[in-house]
Amino acid sequence: MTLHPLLVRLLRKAGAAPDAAPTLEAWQELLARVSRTYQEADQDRYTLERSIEISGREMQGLYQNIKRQSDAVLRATLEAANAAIIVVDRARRVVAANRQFREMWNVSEELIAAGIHRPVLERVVAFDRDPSGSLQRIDRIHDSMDTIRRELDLSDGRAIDLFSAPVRLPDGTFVARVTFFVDCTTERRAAQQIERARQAAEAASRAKSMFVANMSHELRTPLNAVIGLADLLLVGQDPITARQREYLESILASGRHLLDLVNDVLDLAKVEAGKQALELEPVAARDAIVEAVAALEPLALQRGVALTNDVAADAPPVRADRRSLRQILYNLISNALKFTDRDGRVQVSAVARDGHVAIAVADTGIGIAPEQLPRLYRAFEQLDLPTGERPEGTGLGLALTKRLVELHGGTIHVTSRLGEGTTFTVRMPAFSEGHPA
Amino acid sequence: MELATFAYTDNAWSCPVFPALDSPATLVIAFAAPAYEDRPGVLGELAAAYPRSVVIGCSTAGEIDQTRIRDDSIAVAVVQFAATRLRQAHVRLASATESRAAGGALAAALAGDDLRAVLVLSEGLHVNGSELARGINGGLPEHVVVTGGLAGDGARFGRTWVLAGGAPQRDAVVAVGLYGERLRVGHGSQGGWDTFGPERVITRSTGNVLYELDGRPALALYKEYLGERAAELPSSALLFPLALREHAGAEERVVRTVLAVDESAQSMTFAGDVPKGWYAKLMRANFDRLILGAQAAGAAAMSRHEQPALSIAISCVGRRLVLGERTEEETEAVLETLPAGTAQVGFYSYGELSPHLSGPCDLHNQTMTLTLLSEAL
Repeated sequence: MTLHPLLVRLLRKAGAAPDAAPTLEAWQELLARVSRTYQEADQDRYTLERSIEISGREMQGLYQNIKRQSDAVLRATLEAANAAIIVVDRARRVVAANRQFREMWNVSEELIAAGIHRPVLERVVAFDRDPSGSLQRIDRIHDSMDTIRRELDLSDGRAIDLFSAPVRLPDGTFVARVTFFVDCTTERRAAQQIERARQAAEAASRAKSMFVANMSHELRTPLNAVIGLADLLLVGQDPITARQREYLESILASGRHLLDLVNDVLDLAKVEAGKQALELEPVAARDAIVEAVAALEPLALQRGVALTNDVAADAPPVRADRRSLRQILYNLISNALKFTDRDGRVQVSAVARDGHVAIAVADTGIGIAPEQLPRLYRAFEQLDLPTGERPEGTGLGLALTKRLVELHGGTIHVTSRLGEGTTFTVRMPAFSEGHPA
Repeated sequence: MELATFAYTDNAWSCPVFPALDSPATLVIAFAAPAYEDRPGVLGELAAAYPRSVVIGCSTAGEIDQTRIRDDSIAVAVVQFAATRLRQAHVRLASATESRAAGGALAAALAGDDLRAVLVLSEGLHVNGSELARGINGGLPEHVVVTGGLAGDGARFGRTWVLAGGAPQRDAVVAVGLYGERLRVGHGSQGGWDTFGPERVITRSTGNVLYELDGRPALALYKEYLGERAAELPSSALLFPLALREHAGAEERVVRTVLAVDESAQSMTFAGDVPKGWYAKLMRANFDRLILGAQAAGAAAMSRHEQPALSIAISCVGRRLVLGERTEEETEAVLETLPAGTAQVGFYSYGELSPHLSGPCDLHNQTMTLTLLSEAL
């Protein structure tokens, strides 16, 4: 018989042995010790049971406390969000859904509180254009690890952006899926309208450019024949009457005007279609201005207007396409001459200013009313003259000039006072060594 | 080194004559039931038998004589060293706030070139053991091994005393310094308690006095856990020591044992600091691990020892309260791990002083702390 080591010790302490009957004194001492041991065991058990019970209760309280806190944080976050949100756990219980969700899908608070996913889901799916198979699809996605983005197009016309992601513990365990819905009906409709309008405008613009380019080309060929033949008749050997000469000169003038118009339209169409290729090189502003002034001197004489130039000797060359620069200057100077009365002045100047050359064409002409300024550079629009007459020209010159200047990376700017004069200032980039032409 | 152990039980010394080992290099250690303060004659006889020796000791919550544990005895060890010198010092300690200064004063009195070890016995009711240890550590080089304990008073927490200058003295700390190259000192300290329940924050405390955990009176919490055993306070609070750590991520924990409760202030006084803002968890005994812990302490203390060797076992009163009739299993477990022939005296204390493995001395609670002394040949 193997005795418990504690009983062996108790026997020894009581002066008794396992293999002999004890004395009465030893027997009583043993009983007292055994009784004490039992009492200790009772107390130990009491303490252990009680501490398990109380610490269990404390742990439960702690858990409730943490849960209450995290629930409160979750609710406040959901309600503050700018989206409809629903959280569904792996057992397909609705953990939370915010007010925005209930309103978007017309779900009652009671249905959310009941916590069953299926009836809530049915309300959502009811808005599908084609609800067949939707429930099964959502069911499959639910406890997958997939993050999903989708644009929903509902039967009631609403457009909803959906974002859905699994909620995972740090160890990867799936605990819930959270889904966000954002109503973007307004935004998506507006974007669609803008896109449609843009496409229509682009198509119209392309058609117009095509039409203009084709027409201009088709017009130029017969027009050249008309002008050439009229010129031949005028300078030829065949006798013509004074009246016939008058008519021929009129045909020639009208024909040339029409050709200018066609040429301007062609140039503008080319620039607008992005087909105008510039050959950029250093061009001395002074040379270009002197050349343009010389070419227009006859017109100035004819109109009785003093045309002068004042170009700083140290003005650096500009980076420009020689032909385009000539066109820009020609347009601005001839315009100035056109709107300046007899005995007026037109002055062309050029100064260098921080990396640019500013070329100014200033006249003492009729000026432009402030309310007319916004229409200045529009193609096919001519400003009204104070006299009520229609001005000469095609109405394309300034539009073309502005586009050419901008094509060079320059700017055009106008200041004007009605009845006192107008100054156009063109800022062209100066040519600098090392800067690619 | 010459070694003798004996005891005073049933109004008689267990040896017919006191071993003739009196010399200036003789250390007499006596652990006595608190009531011997009222019978100064008995301790007087011992002091008179060893007039040239260093005699130290203290009151206990149980005297350890080899493996036996008694509650009304005096357990004595007499060690005559061959090549080790001794010096005794003692200081008064009337309140917890004096603890660090008391430690500093003892260190100053004992510091010396070849000081190897210090054995410290303190009054056990109002000392702040952590501060006492800090005071001693602050005044001594790191290699000096400091061990010891806080005097006890059974499970009564009424009066404790230390033996200094041959007579019991309350409100005092006594220490003996051991000097010399040939002294061998081993030490080990092990617990055996598990933490349980929620971790709580110490929201109100001053030094070693605890008022509130998580904003609730700490005393109320203990009473709730103790149930009908709350009637046995403060001793029953020993069933649930506190494990403290500085912050929630800290690995190292210190253990604190209750010394007293104050119903009017709803406070509890512990044997060491209970700093505000630290985290506290209740602990409970794991019976088998208490015994294994004692064994482990013995294993840690045993290295490079000659015979004869003396084991000074200082174990926490809380362990005794839990182990009850089975307490001797731990004193047996310790002695079994030590070399055959090792003599053992010791006591159940209100706190143990020992280095963690090696390192500065600190206050431990609820441990079995061993100091093993021998001399190289």
